[in-house]
Amino acid sequence: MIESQDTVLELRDIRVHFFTYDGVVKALDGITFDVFKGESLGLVGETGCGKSVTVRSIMRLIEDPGKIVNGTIMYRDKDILQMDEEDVRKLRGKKIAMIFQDPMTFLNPLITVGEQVAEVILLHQGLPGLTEAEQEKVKKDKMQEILKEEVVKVFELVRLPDAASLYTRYPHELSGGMRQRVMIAMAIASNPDVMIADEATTALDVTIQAQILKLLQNLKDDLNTTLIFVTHNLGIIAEMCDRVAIFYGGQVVEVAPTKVIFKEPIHPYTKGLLKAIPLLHAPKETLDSIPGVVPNLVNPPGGCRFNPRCYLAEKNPEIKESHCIVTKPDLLEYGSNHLVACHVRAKEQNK
Amino acid sequence: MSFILSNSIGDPIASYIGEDQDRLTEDRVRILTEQLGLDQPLHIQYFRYLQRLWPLETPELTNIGTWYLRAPDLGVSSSFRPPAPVIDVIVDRFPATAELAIFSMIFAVVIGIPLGIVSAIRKDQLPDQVSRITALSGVSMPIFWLGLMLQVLIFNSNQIFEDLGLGFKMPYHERYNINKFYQKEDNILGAVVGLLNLLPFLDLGPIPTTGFYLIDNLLYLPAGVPPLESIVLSLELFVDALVHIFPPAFCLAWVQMALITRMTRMAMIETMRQDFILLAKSKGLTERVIIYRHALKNAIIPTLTIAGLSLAGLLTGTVLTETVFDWPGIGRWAVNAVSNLDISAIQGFVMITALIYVLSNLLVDILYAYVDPRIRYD
Amino acid sequence: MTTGYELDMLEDDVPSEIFSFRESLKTRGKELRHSISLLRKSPLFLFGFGTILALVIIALLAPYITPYGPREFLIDPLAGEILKQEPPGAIDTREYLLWTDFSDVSAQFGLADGLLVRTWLVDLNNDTKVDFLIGTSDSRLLFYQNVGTGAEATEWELNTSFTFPEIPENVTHVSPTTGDMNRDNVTDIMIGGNDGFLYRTINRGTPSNANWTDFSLVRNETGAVLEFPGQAHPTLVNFDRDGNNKTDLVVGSTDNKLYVYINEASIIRHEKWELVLLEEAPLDIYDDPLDFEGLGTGSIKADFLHINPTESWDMIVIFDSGHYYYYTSIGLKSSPSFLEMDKDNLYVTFTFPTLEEVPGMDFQWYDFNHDNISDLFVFYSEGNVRFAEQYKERDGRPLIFGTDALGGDIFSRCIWALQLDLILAIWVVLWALVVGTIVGSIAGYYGGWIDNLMMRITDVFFAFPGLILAMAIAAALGKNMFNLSIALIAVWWAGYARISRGQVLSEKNKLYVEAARAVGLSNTRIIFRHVLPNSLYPLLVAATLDLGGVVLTAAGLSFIGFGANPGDAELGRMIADGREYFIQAPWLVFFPGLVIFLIVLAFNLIGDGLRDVMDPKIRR
Ligand SMILES: Nc1ncnc2c1ncn2[C@@H]1O[C@H](COP(=O)(O)OP(=O)(O)OP(=O)(O)O)[C@@H](O)[C@H]1O
Ligand SMILES: [Mg+2]
Repeated sequence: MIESQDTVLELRDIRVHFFTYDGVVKALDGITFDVFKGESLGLVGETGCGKSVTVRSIMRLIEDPGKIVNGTIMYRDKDILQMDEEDVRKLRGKKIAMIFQDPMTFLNPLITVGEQVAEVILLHQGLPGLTEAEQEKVKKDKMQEILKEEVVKVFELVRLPDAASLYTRYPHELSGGMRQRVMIAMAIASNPDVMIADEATTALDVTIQAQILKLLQNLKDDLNTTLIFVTHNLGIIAEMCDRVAIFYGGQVVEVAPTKVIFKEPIHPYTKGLLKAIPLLHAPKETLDSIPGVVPNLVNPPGGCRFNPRCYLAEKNPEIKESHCIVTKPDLLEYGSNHLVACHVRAKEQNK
Repeated sequence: MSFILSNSIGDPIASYIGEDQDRLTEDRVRILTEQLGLDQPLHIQYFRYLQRLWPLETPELTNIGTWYLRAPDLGVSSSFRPPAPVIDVIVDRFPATAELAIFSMIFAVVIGIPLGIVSAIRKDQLPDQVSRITALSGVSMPIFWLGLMLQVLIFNSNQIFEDLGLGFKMPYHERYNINKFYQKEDNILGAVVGLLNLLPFLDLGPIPTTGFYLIDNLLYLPAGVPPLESIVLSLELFVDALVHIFPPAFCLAWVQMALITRMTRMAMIETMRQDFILLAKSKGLTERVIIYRHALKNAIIPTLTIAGLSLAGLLTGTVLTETVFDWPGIGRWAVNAVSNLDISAIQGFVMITALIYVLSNLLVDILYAYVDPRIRYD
Repeated sequence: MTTGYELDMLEDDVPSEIFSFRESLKTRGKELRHSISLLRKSPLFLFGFGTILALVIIALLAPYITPYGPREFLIDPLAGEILKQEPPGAIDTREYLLWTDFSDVSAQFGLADGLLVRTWLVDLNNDTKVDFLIGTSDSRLLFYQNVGTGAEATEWELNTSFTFPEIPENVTHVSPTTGDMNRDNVTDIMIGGNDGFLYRTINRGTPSNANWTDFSLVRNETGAVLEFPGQAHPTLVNFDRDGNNKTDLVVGSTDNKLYVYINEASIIRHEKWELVLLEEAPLDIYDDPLDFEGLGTGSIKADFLHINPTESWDMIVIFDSGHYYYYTSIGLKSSPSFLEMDKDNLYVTFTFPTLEEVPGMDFQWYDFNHDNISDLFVFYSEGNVRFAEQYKERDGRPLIFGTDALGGDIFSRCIWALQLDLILAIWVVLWALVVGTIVGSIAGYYGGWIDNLMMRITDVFFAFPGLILAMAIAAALGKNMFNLSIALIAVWWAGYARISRGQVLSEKNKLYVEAARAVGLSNTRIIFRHVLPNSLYPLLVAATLDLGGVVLTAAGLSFIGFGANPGDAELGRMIADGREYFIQAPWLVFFPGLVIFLIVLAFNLIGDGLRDVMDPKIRR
């Protein structure tokens, strides 16, 4: 566990809206959390709660019709959201890299995987071991050769079998696991500060999943990067992550070290989420589920977005009336590094 | 296929007689019916048609090459004065159409694709609106009208130049045809053909020209003059051909460009929303690289289809343009044939149309395979 | 995780998919509202929509906007009666082609000792005023230049600075005619001589600064010299047989015969743009010279004009003896079938003021006052000239788009043509839509061999360029507007069949269709009530774009002669009619084309806007 508290990324009050024909989808409603240097942070939440949107806003990759309407994202004392486009571009792939979920659709079908990786290397590092002036002089085919060597090295790093021959293969010629490794290769190719894996293993079968997770873990340790890991799977979180941020309906409801989350969750949603995990040792007839549905983000419930499904609020109708449905709860500290956004808990704490 | 098509065009007899009903007498119908063999059952008609196309006589063994090389007998085009064998007319006229079609297609692609890209990237902004108007005007313009107006412009520009005392004249109405004084020994192509003819199994016959004015004129190097003069002359002829092909090609290209622009735009917009573009962005690639390296390749595929189909369309007759500009291609011939109800000519035309469509589909498929590795091996 | 949503549904006994159908309609409604709000913001769409609205209103109000009918009157040249007037009741203004009486002598040429052989009216120096080119019986070619002023300039003076090359030795009687023989848009001269030969000179300079080549013998394609039994009177005229605007040649001679040479040269397939004369025209009507035996004496001068409101040429034939005959043509412009008419069919009288038949007199037609109606000049051999103006009586409205070759008001013709073309487009697209949708949805819904068969049929239609196919069908059915519409429907339905088949295929496996089937609805009901409404949008977009496409194609077909008949007010036809004069009178072509352009552009803008809004792939 990392003790140092150097933050790499500080997200403050991020709001992202999508202006669609159904109305304005308020996808993120004031996301706030920190990412510490060298840690691996898990982002968990039901589908559609805004995890992907959050990590994409970190790279400023929100596309039309979406818009980041508010917030700051500090990376090394600079606000990513205020940078000009060119600077952000230089950040992408070099300092912050992303691994996407679906290795089929995210790889360009018409370009060989080798070239797709080489692209990153050439862009962010240039030819290894050469100054710019020297690079100019290198002939085109020579350059290809050097690049290819470099790519093969990265392929070997991500344990791709027969790395040399893969260079000229197209994505459709690879298996799902191999493609995912190629994506990871792309991400680590330029030694980024922060790696973001957005459900990087969801599309794979369980054994491959385990391999990839292991690979990610090893790479993170070897390269000493920070990892933001988005997933639905709490089991993976338990294995991979130092800290967890729980998302609900575009808000962060709880952030805490992994152990704390699993041992003493505070937010009612987190509790519900944990109850829904099938446990091998305590077989139950049915899985508990949180009653109600994920909120509609065009007309989200006011205040705390969880309030319509919240048993705590149910039990404390006055607080619900006066707070839960009125104001968005702030993240309050409940122990070291343990932040929770809940009016009822806050009231209880105060008592 | 061409048999079916030409038969499905309508009752050949009715069409033979067509508009002048006065000539329609019982007698005439009977004679015509017999002449055309229409009293026979359909399958016999078909068989006859095939027989005429490529007679089934057993070729002698030594002759097998010439038998295959022999042009199929497509009948005689009676709308010609004097009547000419259909195959000759096609051989004579097709190059003119092809030249025009290919030339304008190059134009259209070279302008249309960049325009489509720009308007996709700047969607709903000024460049998009401008390119949309250009493109839509292209498809909305009656091409024959455009051609006529262009001619008015060219003609009046002569007057204007003249009035200004420049003495400059668009040499539009004079065009040199070198076919007439094109001799085999005179030029490179003729020499090549001559050499090939020396091979024992090959007889290309006297084919001194490609029929493409641009190429013929450029390759024409008259013998017996100093080399420099001969080159200058060939360049002059080339420029002349260029001047002549430009106005009709411009008209055609505008329309084709419109289609290509719109298609490229649509495909680009679609592609730019694909996941792999997001990945490319997340890699920090510049917009230019993303567009030209990652998006364009994918977007070009539907554009290719459109371009292939419209090239096929152009090759089978740029009917209106050829009419307006007096271009001696197969399109005008087809109009002539149809209005004179010249059945052989129509059948021949249908044949070549089918052939061109098949070929251009093949071409598009080959290009696909070149662009898209996913279909390369199967 | 079981969601509450699914639980609710399970409690219901009604198949839930029925709801999802209603739901899909609801979202459709919502999409529609949103689409409309987006469309309201698109300036180009609004422009297109506004244009179409305006055009439709103009078309509907056509009878109130213009007093003239779509077709000018057909006048019986014998009785001067109106034969036809369209549309009934739409017009209350009477228009007639009228003649003034022949004027007195308005020019007297100094011919010295010679007599006038033939006068040719032409604007040789390109100053828009008509000049006389006079051939005399003493080997001279005189150029009388019009020095008058104003639109109706009629004052001629001998211009001596305009020198022609030397007249060939043996020729004493010079019979001139003019035409552009090398296609450089500069008028050249051909003369016929009493030696039976034709000679020509080409102006290598400009109209105002002429540079004539020497007279050379006229030869035919094979290089043989054209020779006639006596004095030859050549007339260069553009029969436009193959629509190529090339100059054809008609020669009258002392054997009472008229020889017709059609120019089969193609503009760019010949070394120079010279007339190619066919000595032996291989087929029917050009086989024999036209024989006028017994109608007069001396050699024949022929002049051609449009006097009937048809496209075809009419002809006036004058003998040296002064006998003149007017032939009206019943054929098409491209094959003037007066050439087939026998003597019984000729109109000896004609409704211009009667003239005495004086030996040696000559007629020439020319629209000297630029009202697009030919006027008549009569020359007498002593050198005096008289002319009569032909004009059209109108109610004095301004003719803002000008008039056409027959004096028709282009503006009102455009409006009628607009109406016709819009109706045609809607009619064609509607039928194509109905046929295509039925075929397509049946094919898609039932699949199997029905699908296969129907799609093979559409393939046949697709394998063919639409224009050519429509052309062939229209030609086979006979050339008129209705048959044109049939041809267009036949070409267009296949597209809709494809679209609706695709839609039905993608729609038919959706839950609500299976639900409908489970409930026991009949197939037709499922197709028409459930599947089709959901596939409407792509069809709608296609139909809007096709409205423009149909207008364009119909105009194109009419332009090349399929569809509208000569003289019909149809936009493409009007352009075709104006094509003959389009260099001198571009408005003949410009305005109808502009109207086509506007209609098609407007439909395209609408269709394009709709597609952008409705295509889920590219909308936001
Ligand atoms: N392009 C878009 N247009 C409209 N709404 C969008 C768009 N992208 C995301 N959203 C909305 O933003 C919300 C958050 O989406 P997001 O993709 O971040 O969810 P997620 O937590 O990553 O879910 P999953 O676990 O399924 O990946 C969703 O409700 C979604 O409807
Ligand atoms: Mg996601």
